[in-house]
Amino acid sequence: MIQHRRRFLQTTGAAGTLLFAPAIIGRAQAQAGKPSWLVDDALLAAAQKEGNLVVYTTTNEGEALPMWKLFTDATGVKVQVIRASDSSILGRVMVEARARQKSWDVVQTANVQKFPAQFLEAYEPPEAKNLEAGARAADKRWYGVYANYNTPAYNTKQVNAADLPRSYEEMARRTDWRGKCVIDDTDTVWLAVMFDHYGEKRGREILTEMAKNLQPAVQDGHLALARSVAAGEYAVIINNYLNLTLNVKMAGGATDFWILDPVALFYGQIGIASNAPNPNAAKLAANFQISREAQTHLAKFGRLPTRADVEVNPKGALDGMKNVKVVPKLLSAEDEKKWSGVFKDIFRTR
Amino acid sequence: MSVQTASGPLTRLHSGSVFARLFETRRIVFAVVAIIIGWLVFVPLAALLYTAFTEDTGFGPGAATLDNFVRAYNDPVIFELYWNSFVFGVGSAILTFLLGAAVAWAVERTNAPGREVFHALALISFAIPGLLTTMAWTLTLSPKIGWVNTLIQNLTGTSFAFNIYSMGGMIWVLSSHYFPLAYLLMGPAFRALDVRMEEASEMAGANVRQTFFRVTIPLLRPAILSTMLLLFIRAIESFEVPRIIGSPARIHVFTTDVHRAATSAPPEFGLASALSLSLLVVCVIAVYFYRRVTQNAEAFATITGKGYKPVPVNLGKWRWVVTGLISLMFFIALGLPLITLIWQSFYKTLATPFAATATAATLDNYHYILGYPVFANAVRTSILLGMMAATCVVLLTFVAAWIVQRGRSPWGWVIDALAFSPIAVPGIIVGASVLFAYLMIPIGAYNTIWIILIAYATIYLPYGMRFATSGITQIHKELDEAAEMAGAGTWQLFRRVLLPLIAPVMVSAWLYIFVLAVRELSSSIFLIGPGTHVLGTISLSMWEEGGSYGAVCALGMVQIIPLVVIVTFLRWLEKRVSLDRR
Repeated sequence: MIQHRRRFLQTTGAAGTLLFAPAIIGRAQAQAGKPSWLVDDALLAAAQKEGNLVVYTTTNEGEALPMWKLFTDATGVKVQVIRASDSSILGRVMVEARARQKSWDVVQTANVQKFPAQFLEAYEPPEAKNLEAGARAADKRWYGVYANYNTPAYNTKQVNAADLPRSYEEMARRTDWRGKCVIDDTDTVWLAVMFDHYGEKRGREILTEMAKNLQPAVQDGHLALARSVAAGEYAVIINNYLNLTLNVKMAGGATDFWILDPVALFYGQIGIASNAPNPNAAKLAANFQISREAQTHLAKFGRLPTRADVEVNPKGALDGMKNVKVVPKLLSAEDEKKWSGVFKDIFRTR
Repeated sequence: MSVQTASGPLTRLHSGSVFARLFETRRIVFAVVAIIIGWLVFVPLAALLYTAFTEDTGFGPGAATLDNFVRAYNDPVIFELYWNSFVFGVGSAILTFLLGAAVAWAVERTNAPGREVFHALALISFAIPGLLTTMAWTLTLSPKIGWVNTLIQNLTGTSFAFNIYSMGGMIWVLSSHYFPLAYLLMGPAFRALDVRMEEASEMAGANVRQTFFRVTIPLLRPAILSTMLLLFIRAIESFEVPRIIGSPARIHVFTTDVHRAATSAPPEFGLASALSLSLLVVCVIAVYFYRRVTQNAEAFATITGKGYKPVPVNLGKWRWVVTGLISLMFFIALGLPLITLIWQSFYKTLATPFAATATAATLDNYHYILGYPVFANAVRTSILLGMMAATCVVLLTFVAAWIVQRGRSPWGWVIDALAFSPIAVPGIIVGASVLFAYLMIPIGAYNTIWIILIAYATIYLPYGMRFATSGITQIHKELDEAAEMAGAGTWQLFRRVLLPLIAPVMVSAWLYIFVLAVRELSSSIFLIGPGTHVLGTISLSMWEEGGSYGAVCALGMVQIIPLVVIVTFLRWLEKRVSLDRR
């Protein structure tokens, strides 16, 4: 009897193992392959029911479309991406708001903070806890997707690294750089941080001296200016976005950055429309966009992450930031106008 | 019984009822065209006026205010902007005209060898997007990195350098890019010139110079004025050249402020609109004076019922000199930037033509472009939109021009000015106004190709109108009258009399608008949707956000090739429908 029972158990156990092994192995594999940001099955089901997502973004199609394909592959939700500049997206949203149109689900630009609060949904995605401090709005209406550190850059064939100034005060006295510099006339965040750091009086003194001694050309287009510096059109750009300088450097351009105190920082952000046509897909998308997977994808193109668990590309690019004061700063629409006026006044853009 | 009046066929009296007169085919067609043009123009003009006189609140309707005008015009620097814009506009118009008219004369009026090649080269020139051409000139003639300057310095041992960053540089860059417009406008005018008038002048004892200034130029006056008007307006509303070349030199023009206001974050549409109203006033005044100067249209008609004899001028041995000079002009105006673009398209970083570089040449830029996620879709959409926009605009404006020229109404200039007015409205405001209008009107155009087509048709109406006006002025109305007296209805008149005569101008207009529409950008920004990407926005995306110099240049090269094919086909078609089968 005992032998029969033992044989029965052995046979049953073997059969059970054979029967359920594929399911067990499959579940383990599925759990191993499941994206880290897909944690809410109910939200996923609701998003799949909606089936669509409309994204307004400033990220170029070469980076954005493959990234959103990851989202579609994981969820089955079809994504429609519309790319434009920060101001164009803001303008488009403005016009659509006036027409009371529900057109977009999520917006990803560097000025989501300028949207009126009532346009954005207050929502805390699960992945938000993994973001660095400061990469989110206190009212939960936007989250940082990538970081824009502001640093000067130079042409490595025209300027010796050993001759670079160690401070903005020193840079302001570099009369040998007269006519060889450029600045972007939309660098209001950098300007505001300079005034915050040095104070109104000293800040204005340093910048006025800089404008007088360096007499920089004033243009717009940070990437175009990064290319111009690498090409030798200008020896120095007084301020640019670190990732763009790196982008051109990695493509073989003769340029590099150096770090001066303070470093202005702002974020490329994501926000959810408060009247999104696909609200569940929007919430899922926000969580995706700040996930390790999405930020790792963007890091391949040189964008700097807002998570500590995503490796910076190139490695060590941010090591120098440990010794300086990094100041996150985001300007409201009113602040933008104010600092544009100050910029025009100091650098005599006309 | 029909009665011909001094006013022409449009005021012909019928013996039928008022009801029958009202519903004549011709009147219905004219009314439909007038309504369509009126609606197309109304949307951006209404938006311009509304936003200029309301507060810039951004997300909701603003209160009525004059603050936008105070901000726009109370800064004394505005006078500097006006002056710079005027100098830039006049200088560019004159140089552009001279370059384009010279090519048009050589191609259409002479037996200089290489005419067909010159025609193709002229069209290639404006097939290259303005942003790329301007960038190419900075790489060519920048005092610091321009390769031509480096070549000159190496050859001469001096430090001489052309400085592209100057008012002269701005005028040159714009003119070298826009002279095909002058060519396309003046070409048909030269072709239609009846040489017998010049022969009569010479038989009366005038020399070549006298004949040219006292016969030829006056006959071409409508075409010249149309061309100059368009070139002047086009120059003062241009912003790519002032942005890339003027700003580093601190030469600021009117449109620099308009563009800055329209592209700030958030956009200041009110300020941009208040500034743009100046441009609108200039356009209206210019059109009014144009109409005053050309009001005796019969005096300028070169195609009459007495026969039409386009004959090339035999230059003799001078034809080789003319060919040489035109070729040199093309080499400098088109060849230099094209060499820069082609060379750069094979390198990821800056590469000086014909010089050794640190990195190897590569096809990676072309792989990047051809593999860009929405590139194929953008090409298809842009070509389709170009064809549709060109067709719509040519049809609308040629009918409208016929109304204006033949109607003899004292208010004809109003229609002309209205159709021309969108040129004064920045493309970005056209885009925003069209977006708003068609969000409010529930006809399902939003996020489709149709809303973009509406914006394109609006933007290119002025060009079509200038081509059409120039062309129809040259046809004497006695040909219309003769056809009607012979019993031709409206459709027969158009198909068998007018169309063969104005076909060359229509094809030129179609071609120009097609090429512009394929690379249109500023109005598309607000209107593209999923699946309706266009080449202009792809180019901007690469310029602003990703891709090297080389990738941007490769994109320009890739755009030129299909345009060359289409241009060549259209030239063949143009020669088929033209009366001049040389």
